Amino acid sequence: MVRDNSGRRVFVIPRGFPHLLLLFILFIGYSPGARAQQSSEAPDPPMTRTEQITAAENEKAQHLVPLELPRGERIFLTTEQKVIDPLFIPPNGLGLMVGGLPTGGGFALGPQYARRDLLRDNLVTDISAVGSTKLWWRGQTSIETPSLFDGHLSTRLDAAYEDAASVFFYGEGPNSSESGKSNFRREFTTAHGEGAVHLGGNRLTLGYRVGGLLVHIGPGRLSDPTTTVYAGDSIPGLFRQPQFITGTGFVHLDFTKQGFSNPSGFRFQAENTQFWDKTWHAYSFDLFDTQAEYYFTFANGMRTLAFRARNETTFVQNNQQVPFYLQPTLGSPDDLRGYDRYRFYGNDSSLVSAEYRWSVAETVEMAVFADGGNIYQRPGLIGFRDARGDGGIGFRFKNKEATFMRFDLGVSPEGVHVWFVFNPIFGPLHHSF
Amino acid sequence: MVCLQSHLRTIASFLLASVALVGGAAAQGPRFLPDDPITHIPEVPLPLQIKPQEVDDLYDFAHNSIRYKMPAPTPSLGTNTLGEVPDSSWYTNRDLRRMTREELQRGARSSGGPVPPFTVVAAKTEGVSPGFRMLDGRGHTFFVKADPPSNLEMATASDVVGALFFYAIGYNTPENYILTANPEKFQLSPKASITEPSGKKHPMREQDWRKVLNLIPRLPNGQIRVMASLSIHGKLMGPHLYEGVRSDDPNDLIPHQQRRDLRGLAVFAAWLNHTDAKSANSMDALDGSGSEARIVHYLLDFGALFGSDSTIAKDPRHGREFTFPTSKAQLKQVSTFGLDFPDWETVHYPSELKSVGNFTAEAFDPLKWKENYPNPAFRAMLPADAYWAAKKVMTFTDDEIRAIVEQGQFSNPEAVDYITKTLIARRDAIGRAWFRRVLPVEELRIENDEVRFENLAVRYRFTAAPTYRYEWFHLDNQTGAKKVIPDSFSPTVPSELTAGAKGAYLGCTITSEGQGDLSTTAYFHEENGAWRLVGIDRKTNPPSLP
Repeated sequence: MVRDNSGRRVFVIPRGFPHLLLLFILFIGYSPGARAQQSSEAPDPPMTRTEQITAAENEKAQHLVPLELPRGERIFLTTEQKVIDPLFIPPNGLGLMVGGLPTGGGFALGPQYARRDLLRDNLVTDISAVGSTKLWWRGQTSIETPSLFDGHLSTRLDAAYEDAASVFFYGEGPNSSESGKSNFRREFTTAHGEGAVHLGGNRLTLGYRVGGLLVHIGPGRLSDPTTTVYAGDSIPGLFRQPQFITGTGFVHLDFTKQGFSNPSGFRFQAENTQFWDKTWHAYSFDLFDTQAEYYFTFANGMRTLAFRARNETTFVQNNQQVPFYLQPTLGSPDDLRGYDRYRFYGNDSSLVSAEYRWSVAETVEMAVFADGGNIYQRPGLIGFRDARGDGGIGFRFKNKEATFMRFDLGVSPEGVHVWFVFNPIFGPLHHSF
Repeated sequence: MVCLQSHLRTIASFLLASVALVGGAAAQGPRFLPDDPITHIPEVPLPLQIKPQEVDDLYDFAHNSIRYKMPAPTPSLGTNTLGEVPDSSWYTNRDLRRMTREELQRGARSSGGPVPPFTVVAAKTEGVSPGFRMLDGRGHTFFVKADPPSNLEMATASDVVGALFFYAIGYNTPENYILTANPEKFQLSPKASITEPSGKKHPMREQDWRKVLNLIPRLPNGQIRVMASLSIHGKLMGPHLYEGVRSDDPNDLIPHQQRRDLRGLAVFAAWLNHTDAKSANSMDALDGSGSEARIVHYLLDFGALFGSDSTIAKDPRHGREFTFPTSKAQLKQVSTFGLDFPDWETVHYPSELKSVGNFTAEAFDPLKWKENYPNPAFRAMLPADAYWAAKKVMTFTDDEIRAIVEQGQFSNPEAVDYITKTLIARRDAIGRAWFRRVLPVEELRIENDEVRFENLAVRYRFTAAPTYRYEWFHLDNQTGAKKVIPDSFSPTVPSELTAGAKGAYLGCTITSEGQGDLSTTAYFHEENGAWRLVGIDRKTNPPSLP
């Protein structure tokens, strides 16, 4: 800015200024016309609420982003669909099997191949092999038609090999001593065929199972093997293992109703298994196993008094014997919970259990319990002489249908036992044979 | 970088939302705009391509259960200057006082129920409650569900009655009908498919269909009773979440957990015991085409209302505890060895009315009611949101409630009586609970130079008429500054405010004696010689819920 001759201030455009102006315009990407046009078309600030909202919507419309799952959800879904579902709940194909060993086997895991989609979901087959932290093993395969004739008939064929590497044995009878603890290896190889009819909406099930049982008993993998602790002639079947043909007739009655935390009502199971010793003809016997359960719910189904009575009686004829590895036992997370596993062996056993259960949450239940039971050597001695008892407390994790995991702490004169298992306490009768 | 941009855009959307919509937004400029209070949310056209939202039910449960804690209070949005929810693709104000009994009983059901012949096109056999999809004689698609054998009429009635209630309240619902028909009326489409429990899909054969039919309980006359839900109009775009916004919908500006219509849904859910109010039970649909296209937000699946849990009577805990244990009550259950009996274990349920399930007003506390797992919008609810919803609940008269419940077509009239009686009691509990946390004055107006209003707590006889205190002020609409008129404690508009009042704004803060912590402030604008109500502020106690 300079002054002219009259002293007024005037602008003087320096030489080369038009070029600079052109460069500036190019740099900022505007032309004077464009700026003027933009200025004249700039919207007025919204005057109404409707205009404000519309402006905000239009603004968002300029920056829309396609829907995308958040990272956490993507990881969760991938894990669920690619890992959890295929491995742990495979509808069909290869997956992981957890558990499946008799009590005392430890945590077991292994591969499983299952098909549930054959013949339009009418044929189910699987094959699995599991090994445990205690080096117990089991391999099995089965094929079944679970629901023929609208669910009135089921059939099943199965075969299994089970190696229980260290089953405890304290000697026979109710007065066996803790100091007599030993362990043995029990290998069972089984094959069965089964048919069952289901009537009255599954309230009544009648069936028969026929099969074979190969046995091998040997020293356990822990110290104090039974084969050295006990004399062979004092323990039936310790050194002579036969091959058995087995036949099991069974009847199940179920008059329970589904509840919120537990069923309510009555359930009864009876099974009679005949063992025919085809090798030595010295160990043939019958095992009659019965279990009755009663569930009384109150407090709108949130509390339950649960009772279970179980009896296992063996019948022998003509100087036959019941081999010790097929004798009823007491002491486990499923019966006398205050005693060590397989604490008592005998030809017959009786057991009663009672639980007071209260629902803490939809998926968590607690219980206080008491068990009482005894072992005796012949059916005529049924009663509660030499009975043993325990009490304790339990935590159960469950869904509406069943308990899938439980911690039970049992206390008895022989100490405190903590159990962590994946089955309900009063479940269906189960045998390894 | 894309992620960062996405976040920035989301943040920008939130900011826009808070600026654009009223309800506590700190917008620059005049407090009240000429069209306040708005009654309708304008919407702009949708982009041509949007894809359905996916919601994984298990993730939704785990995500909301595990991370749950009471959120910090955030302002309610999506309201007009009166605190009301304007009509939108989420919510429609349906004036119950003007709805006839027939309109209430019809609800969204404008198409009419399924017309024979019924052609079954798909089914599933999983679970105790079978379901199938069918076309009726007009070619309309219906999704069909049945009752559990243990509780006939329970779930089907819940689905129909629930949809009618939520429609009357103002939400978008499908058309749900009770269908009673002979099994022979259903024919199998040659292209029908069935999904087996293993997840495998097969062409459906007659014996498959018979298997499905066998799972459906029979009425004494051999017919079956099912609930048929007409497929929602428009292309289905997946469920909506109860937090955040759809990033591909320009009209979805407000974070859902701050929407008053979704927060207030908690009160309606408590009233009707809709414990299963979750994302998976909602659906967005693309309605219209071209410049008319927009996303409409529906609530779905009302089979778990009242005493029903769809496949079984409701667990007594439902409505009181989350599925995933979080509360002190549950800790107490552990520590007391079961010697403590929570009230839901001791209340009476109508065991003789199987069609009702477990539904009661006994021990119902609207402030303690809980959905099955934390719903972000429900947990963010403020007393002001609850008051908005409670007003709507209280609008239902005894007769209107009965009229809707009758649509459940219960064979035992005692079921209608019981549910009606229970809903009336729960309605009143809701009114009592939430009208204590605000000064529930409505219908505010200036007549003959006096402020007039109706106290809802008095109208519904929850309390005696209190004595009120008034404070008048002049409002500078541009700056928001208030100039209190001294000694103006009467309902009469002070002369200082009426003199030369053309176009002026004034306000009156009303408090009731003994409830000084509660107040309602009404704002009026002088228009053509009359005072028009343009805004309401409510001071609640507590300001947010614990």
